[in-house]
Amino acid sequence: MSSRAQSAPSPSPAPAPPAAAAPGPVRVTRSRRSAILPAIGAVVIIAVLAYLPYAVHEGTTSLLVNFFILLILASMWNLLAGYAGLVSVGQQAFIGLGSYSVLIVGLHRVSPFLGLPAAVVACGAIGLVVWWLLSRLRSGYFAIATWVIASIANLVIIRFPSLGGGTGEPLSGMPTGNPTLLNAEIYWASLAVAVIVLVALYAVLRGRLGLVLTAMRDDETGASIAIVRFQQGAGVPSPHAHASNQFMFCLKGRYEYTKTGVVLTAGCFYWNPKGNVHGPAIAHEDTVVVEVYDGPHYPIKPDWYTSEEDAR
Amino acid sequence: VSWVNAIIQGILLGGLYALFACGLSLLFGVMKVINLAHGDLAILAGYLAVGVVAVTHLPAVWSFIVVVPLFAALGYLAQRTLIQASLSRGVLTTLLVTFGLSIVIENALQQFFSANSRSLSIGSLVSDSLHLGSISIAYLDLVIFAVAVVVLLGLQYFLSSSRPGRLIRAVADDREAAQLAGADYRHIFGIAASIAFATVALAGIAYGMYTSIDPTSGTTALLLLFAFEAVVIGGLGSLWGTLVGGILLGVVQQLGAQVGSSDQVLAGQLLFLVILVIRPQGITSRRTA
Repeated sequence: MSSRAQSAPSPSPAPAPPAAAAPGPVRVTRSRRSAILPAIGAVVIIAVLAYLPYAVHEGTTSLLVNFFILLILASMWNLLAGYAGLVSVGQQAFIGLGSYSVLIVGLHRVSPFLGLPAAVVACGAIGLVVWWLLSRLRSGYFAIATWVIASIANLVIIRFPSLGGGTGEPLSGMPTGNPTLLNAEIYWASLAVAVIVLVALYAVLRGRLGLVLTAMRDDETGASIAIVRFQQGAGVPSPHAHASNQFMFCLKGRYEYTKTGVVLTAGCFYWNPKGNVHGPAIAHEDTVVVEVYDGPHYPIKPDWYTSEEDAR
Repeated sequence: VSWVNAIIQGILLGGLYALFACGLSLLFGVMKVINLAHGDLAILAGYLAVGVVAVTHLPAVWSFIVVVPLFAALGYLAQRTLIQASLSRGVLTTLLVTFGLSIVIENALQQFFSANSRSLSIGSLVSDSLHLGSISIAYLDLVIFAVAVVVLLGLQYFLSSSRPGRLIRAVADDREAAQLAGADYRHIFGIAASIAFATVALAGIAYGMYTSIDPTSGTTALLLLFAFEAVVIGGLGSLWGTLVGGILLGVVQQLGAQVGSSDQVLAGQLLFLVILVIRPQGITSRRTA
């Protein structure tokens, strides 16, 4: 719930909404120019990391593979719990399903490296189905339900003897021959996945989706309380509807809905159900009202608002 | 007859689940804490009971006289220190704290009691059973079920009729309003936690008699998950509902086991998902989730 104070949308006696500029394509700025130096630094670091298999022992690179895996897992947690506010205790399901996707691809004599994108698609599709099941749940319910999903995934997988049942199955289809080259390839693959994950998350979360997710986390309903002052002669110029239920207390003044003739004076309570078209309205005297919305204010920003801040 | 037997065994198994779930239901319903250490706490209580029997040579059944008050005190202490400190920092923090506690308990048990499995020997009670035609009911199962019903109904009565119980419900409903009316919510949370820990001690002792336990049983036996499911199926904040949820889960699992031994757990999980999708507020709850 946020609270805000508004001034009258249009203070002139004759409400003259400004000609609404045609909303052009929104330009998303993800970073300022000062981010260029760190970006160059990141490219250099990635280049150095990519060269490492030629320079250091295999022990070091396999340690780094573990680091990349942790980095990817942590990014996923940050996206889910940090940005979206969804705490899951069942993410092991997707780790396992990803591994088994690679295994299934390997069993068909395809290189497990090609199994990586297949695993992404498979787990993404399963994730959508899981979300469809769990989308109505929040906090504790959501956490427990994800755990149940993980348990189900485990119970289903161990039913397939071809996938090793409950004891697991070695990954077949790995190229044999040069183990040093294989280790380097595994290293490069995990580095590539880590870089792709980080860049994709950066691009997505610094844009509209990231804002929507944090907004949902912080305030899923969008409910608000506002004190609004209409100067004499100001008002709302056109018929409109709200995206949630509106409750209004008039503290002072005379505020008339001209179409129906309803007049609010000090002490009046006015209630307007979600989606009900009302207005135009005009303040015959300097009017102050308390407005309570149990959800978002408007379905879309009405054209009589000149300030984004007021139209929230 | 085997189906009737499955239903009866399921009801009795549900009693054990409900006994496990009742502490969880309190913590979850009152404090919104998802206690991932619940299963390990039960196993800890089971081991303590083994220790008490070894030292005092009391019959295992009476070990609860020592263990349950000890756990009640431990619960109050844990709430006032560890859980309270994490409560104000959001769902994720309490989740991680209780997860850490679960790992600590598991490894401490392994350190002190080794990884060997133990059980609380209760003499002939474990094998004796009541014969009704071709159906036999173990006395132990019957006793555990009776204890579960008495504990859950007793707690329900305590919450609805006694002054501390009403305070607990008031704080659970609206903490700020209860504080305004003069309730010390930290103390109330402590009382709720001590009750929850006392019941988990009972459940741990019962489980130690029911089957053998080892330090990892708290997480590997899936009991914790079943307990959570019983709470959600029954409906949050209703102990009566938790009993119904536990019994329903037990019956569906036993019916699943009739189809195939590997279907037992899966049947229960699917029941949980179905309930969650069609009635997320639980079967006995009137409020919407």
